[in-house]
Amino acid sequence: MNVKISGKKALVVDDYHSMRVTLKERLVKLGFEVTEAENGLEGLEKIREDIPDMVFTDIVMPVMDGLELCQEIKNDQALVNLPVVVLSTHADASYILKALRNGADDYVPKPIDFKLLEKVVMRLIDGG
Amino acid sequence: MADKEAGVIDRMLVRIKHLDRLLNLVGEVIIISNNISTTNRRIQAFYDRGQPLDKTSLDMIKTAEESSNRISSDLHSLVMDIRMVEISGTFNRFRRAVRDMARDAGKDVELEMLGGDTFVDKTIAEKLYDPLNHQVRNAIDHGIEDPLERQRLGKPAKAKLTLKASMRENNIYIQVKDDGRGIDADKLLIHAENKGLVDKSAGEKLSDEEKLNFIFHPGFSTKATASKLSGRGVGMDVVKSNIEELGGSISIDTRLGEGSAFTYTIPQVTAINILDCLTVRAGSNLLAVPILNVVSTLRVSSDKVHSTFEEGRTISYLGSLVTLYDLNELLGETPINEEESRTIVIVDDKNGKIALNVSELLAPEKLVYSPLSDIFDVQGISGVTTMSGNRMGLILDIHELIGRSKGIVKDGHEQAPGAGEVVEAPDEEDAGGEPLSAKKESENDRPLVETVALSSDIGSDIGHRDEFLMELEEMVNNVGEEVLSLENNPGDTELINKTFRNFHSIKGNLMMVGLNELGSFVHEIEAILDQARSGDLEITSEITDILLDATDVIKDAKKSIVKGKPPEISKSLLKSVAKFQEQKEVKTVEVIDVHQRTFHLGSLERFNLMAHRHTGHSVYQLFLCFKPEFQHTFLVALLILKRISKIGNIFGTVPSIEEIENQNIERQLKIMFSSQLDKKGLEKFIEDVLVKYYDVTEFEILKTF
Repeated sequence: MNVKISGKKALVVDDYHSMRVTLKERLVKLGFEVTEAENGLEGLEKIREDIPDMVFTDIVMPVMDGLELCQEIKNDQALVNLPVVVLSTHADASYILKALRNGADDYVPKPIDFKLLEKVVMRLIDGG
Repeated sequence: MADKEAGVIDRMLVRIKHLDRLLNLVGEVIIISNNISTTNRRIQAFYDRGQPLDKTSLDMIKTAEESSNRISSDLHSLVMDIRMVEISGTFNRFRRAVRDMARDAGKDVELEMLGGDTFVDKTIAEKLYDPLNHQVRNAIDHGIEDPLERQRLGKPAKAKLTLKASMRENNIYIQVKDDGRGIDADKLLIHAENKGLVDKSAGEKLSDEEKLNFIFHPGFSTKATASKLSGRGVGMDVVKSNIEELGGSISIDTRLGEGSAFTYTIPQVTAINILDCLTVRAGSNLLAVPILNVVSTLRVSSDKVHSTFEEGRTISYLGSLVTLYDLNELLGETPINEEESRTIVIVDDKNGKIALNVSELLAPEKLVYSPLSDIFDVQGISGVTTMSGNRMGLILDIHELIGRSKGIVKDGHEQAPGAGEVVEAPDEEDAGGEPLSAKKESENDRPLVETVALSSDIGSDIGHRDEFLMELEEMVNNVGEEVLSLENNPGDTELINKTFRNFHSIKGNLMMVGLNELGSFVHEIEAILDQARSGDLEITSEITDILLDATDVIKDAKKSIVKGKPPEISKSLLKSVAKFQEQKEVKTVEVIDVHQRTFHLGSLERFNLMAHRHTGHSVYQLFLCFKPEFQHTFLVALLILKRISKIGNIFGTVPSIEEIENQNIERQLKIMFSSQLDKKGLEKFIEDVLVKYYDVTEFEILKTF
């Protein structure tokens, strides 16, 4: 898939710098303008400051985890259509279901398969 | 070596003023040559008459000698000057290279060049390119952080790389400096220990400088990485030998978090192959000792030579003991065997000072020096020369001799027999096959390179592996401390949560660097903590032991990456972990025949369906086949349903939602839903969205009403 996006903003929420950097690098390559947050709460603040076109969040984080972040986004009328992709090393069905029930729009297991990431991005941007 | 020489350009531009000076000197040579002819005829006449030479003739000879001495020295310095070029020519080659390398490495780097107008010998300027290139690459690949990291550290996003040249007292100083992360001496030590270059007990005693010197050790960085990351195929050992070939040395100044500077000190005098030497005789050998290395010459009677078991023979020089060696013996030849008195030359280089016993001191001479090619590599000899009287002589390689005297054996050559031992060099070699102690630092203990993490190629080709590994180290340390405090406070929920999170992140990083097996193991650890987190399991000492053991295994992960083989987890640990694994429920899965089964609609769904039909929506029964490429089948099924619910209302599915959630689904799905889309519109939606992005391979609109 040859993906190129322009003028879209993405927010990456992860408590680990390496993961943020890796993800950011990929998303920038796809054409996103990327901002970062270290936990769900910081993410939510950044979203409310400037609504991005897509959110990528880890699940397990201090302060506010990714599932809570999903809930907060989907419970906010202004943000309900903001696509949220959950990324996690939890590969169990129970976690995926938890994420979906909390409003996640897609689920990408870690380590991230970048082809899947591109696919998910296109799924949500072009196919959404 | 030949390849390298071939790469050196054999032409250069010469300044007119230098040519003019050369012309003047040629004029003077002609004058002297005429004077010598005159003098010669005059002497011949005296000889023919059988008379002794008069004073005028002697003066004429003396003048001719003085003039020719002055001219050869002028010629030498002129040729030196002609060969001088501005170092900026070499520096400028990095303008573009730095830009390209930085771009490839995703770094933002500004190149600063200072002292470009420093004149250096052309050969030096050219031979500096390879080592500089290597170091510039190293700095960009490993020293300089990426812009994000730099911002995080509060550094300017744009890194600064400086190439600087200066000249002081016949020495050229070339510096490569970056403001990156610096080199962690302790990490180098760990790497050196892992590589077996030094044992733990010896390693602990090393100074930072000594630890840093490991980077010059051959093979300190693995070849695979070197070529993969930078495609350069040379290590810092090669850089060091490049500089040493020029008679120079390298020093490292590095500060963690602030950057590193490598400084080459190169004597300008090595530029041309004329060497001031002291010629000596040792037995039947004529040898030349470079004056630069000569500390002193002396004659001592044999009773001034002390002999001790540990240190061999020593003499006292300026209040300190210097070990005495028979020069011939050191070169592997028959010893001189002088008993009455000894003629001694004391020589030194940066590795120390030794005394050489010779047969006779001859004279200080300026010698034209021809280096020995690699094929004729003779230990302790660096080149051949023609001495006065047209006699062939050998030029001693004092650096190597001192290395040999200290028992540092080069390239499998054996230690010179009978050579005494020097105080700083304990006799570990004799133990046979022991790794060289790093304490015995010499040219042979060259090491490394770059930061430790970059090593093998197991694992992924993700660009930030070093960083994942660095984080991993930090996480493991944190988790270790947490587990220890968990031992004392087993009921601390917050602490359990934190430990759980940390193991979870460790798992992520392990997988990111390609250690999937270890990642899965950590997943089991995480699962144990998850049980503790939800209160199903109490933290006992048995559990904390497992956690600590697991931490140790993860700690070794980096080592295993360096070695290129997966880390080992002991059977007993796996067994203890298995004990705490949750018993997974065994599900009985009923295979669902999607085609045969009908929708089970409740009365509310039926009511809804009727209502939608009345509002002009069409109701569809859609059959889908899909083939997930990356994700779980049930996840893709749920995503498809979620997407369809955006264009309509779903009343029922086969398999049912509950069944899908229980993963009881086999890539086939039947959906009953209503939508405003007509059949064509629906087909288009399926083609454009579901087929394109949701792994749908086949579809059939079964029934519409």
